[in-house]
Amino acid sequence: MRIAIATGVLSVLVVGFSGTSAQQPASPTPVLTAIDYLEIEQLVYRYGYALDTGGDNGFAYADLYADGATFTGTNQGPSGRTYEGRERLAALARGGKRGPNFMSHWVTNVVIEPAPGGAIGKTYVGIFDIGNGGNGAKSRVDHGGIYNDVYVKTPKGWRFKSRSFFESTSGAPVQPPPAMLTTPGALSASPGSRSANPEPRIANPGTLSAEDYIEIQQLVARYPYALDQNPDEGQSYANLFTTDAVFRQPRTEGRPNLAKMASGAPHGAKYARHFLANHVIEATADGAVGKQYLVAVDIGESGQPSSIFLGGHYEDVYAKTPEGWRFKTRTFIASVTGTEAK
Amino acid sequence: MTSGRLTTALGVAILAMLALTVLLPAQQREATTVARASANALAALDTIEIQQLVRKSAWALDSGDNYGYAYADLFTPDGTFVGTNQGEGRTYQGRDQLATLARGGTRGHTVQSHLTMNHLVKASAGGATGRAYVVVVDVGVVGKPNKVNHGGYYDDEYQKTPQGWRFKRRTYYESKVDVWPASSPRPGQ
Repeated sequence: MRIAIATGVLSVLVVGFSGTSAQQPASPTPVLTAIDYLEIEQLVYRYGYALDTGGDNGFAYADLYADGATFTGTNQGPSGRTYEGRERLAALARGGKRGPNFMSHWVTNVVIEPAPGGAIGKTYVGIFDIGNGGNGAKSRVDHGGIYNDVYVKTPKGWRFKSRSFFESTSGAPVQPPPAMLTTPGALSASPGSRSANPEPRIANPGTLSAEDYIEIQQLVARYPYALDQNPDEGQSYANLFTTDAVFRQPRTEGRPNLAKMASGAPHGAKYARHFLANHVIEATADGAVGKQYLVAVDIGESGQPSSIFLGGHYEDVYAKTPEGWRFKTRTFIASVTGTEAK
Repeated sequence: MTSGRLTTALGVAILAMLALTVLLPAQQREATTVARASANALAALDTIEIQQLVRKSAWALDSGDNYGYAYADLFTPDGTFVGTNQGEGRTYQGRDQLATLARGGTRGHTVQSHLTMNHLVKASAGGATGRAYVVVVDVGVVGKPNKVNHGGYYDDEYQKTPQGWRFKRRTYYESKVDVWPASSPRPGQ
């Protein structure tokens, strides 16, 4: 950690020096710390939940944006549509299919770069229609594309300054690339936002370090391998949980039962079925909680078609043990298409 | 900050960076980081940079940017990609072959096909290793319905270079099931 801080100090100095020797930029490019990267990533992952659930009457979504920020859906209408301000963004988030357990936006490939006044980023989004809670509707890939983002650090944490959606199209005539990483828009300077000091952390009064966040990310990343590849009759899978852990559904308690459950699922040395995205992590008084989207894909072998087996989300409680971070509880909730959020 | 303090801070920072990148042999470096007593012995920023590398590879592959060289430049000069699903398995080594790979197929800034997830990162003697799932979706292919095309996972070796973390070797395996218990429903059932 000392090295990381020292590196940060040095980078700040280098930026400072180069700033004086070259032309002074209007808005300096900050140094992003590990926590900055993680916090921006968390913002990006919260977006999926806020939009799909329409939580807080759409304001959970709106509040991911800074004051005066915009969302542009370039796929809406002939020339796209821009939503600006809290009310309009909230209205956007309560339109369409929404529900407390509705999962649709799988965000991956999040690339973040420092930029003058804050940071910019780009992400893929896969938008899936998951069969409605097992009512027989067939799950499918609805559409997808990318988000181009500008982030700004506010007193409340990192927020979207702008986000634009571009729909994926291939085979169409070549279009100009979305204006992005090389030419970030001018950002208004936000006083104090360039400090590498560890001021406000991720939303909550967290006690998680960057290392903790990364270890919890890695714990969750190990889950699908242990389940799908299952090299040791479920032992690797069971060992991701605390000894007194509870998995639902079906309710399964204790490592021997967890190992047995894992071995009852399809597996293979090269099998990939459980795809997790949008991993949100929050510190709690005695550890951390988290959630992530799951889409289980039956990849067609030997040219057979692929299909979506199920989708939904996990809700987790993590505990730090002498072995490292482990699942204390893990609950799967299938995606259910709600009516419009009230 | 006084100039004396500034000099000290600068000195400490430079020493720390040198220690991190030059002076310490790999083994010693590992010994200092292992003390983190965690499953992950890389510094937080190392892990984050490796995560960014893997994410950038999807962007570079789908866009075919810079005539495929955006993808090739994510590898070390002797970097290798092995597509075990291509015939008997096919190997691409070095910048030109990797760029050729990345400009084959459907490419463009509006193509988003490789959704990478579940990225594992572990420290290794030569740098780091990792694995990531990838599901390849066909979205917005003119005249065709959107669908999952295929998927599997990447096995990676990463190396820290003066330009940052790079792929030393990446191998793609298509998903294949070995055991399908009777109790578990099969696709279409």
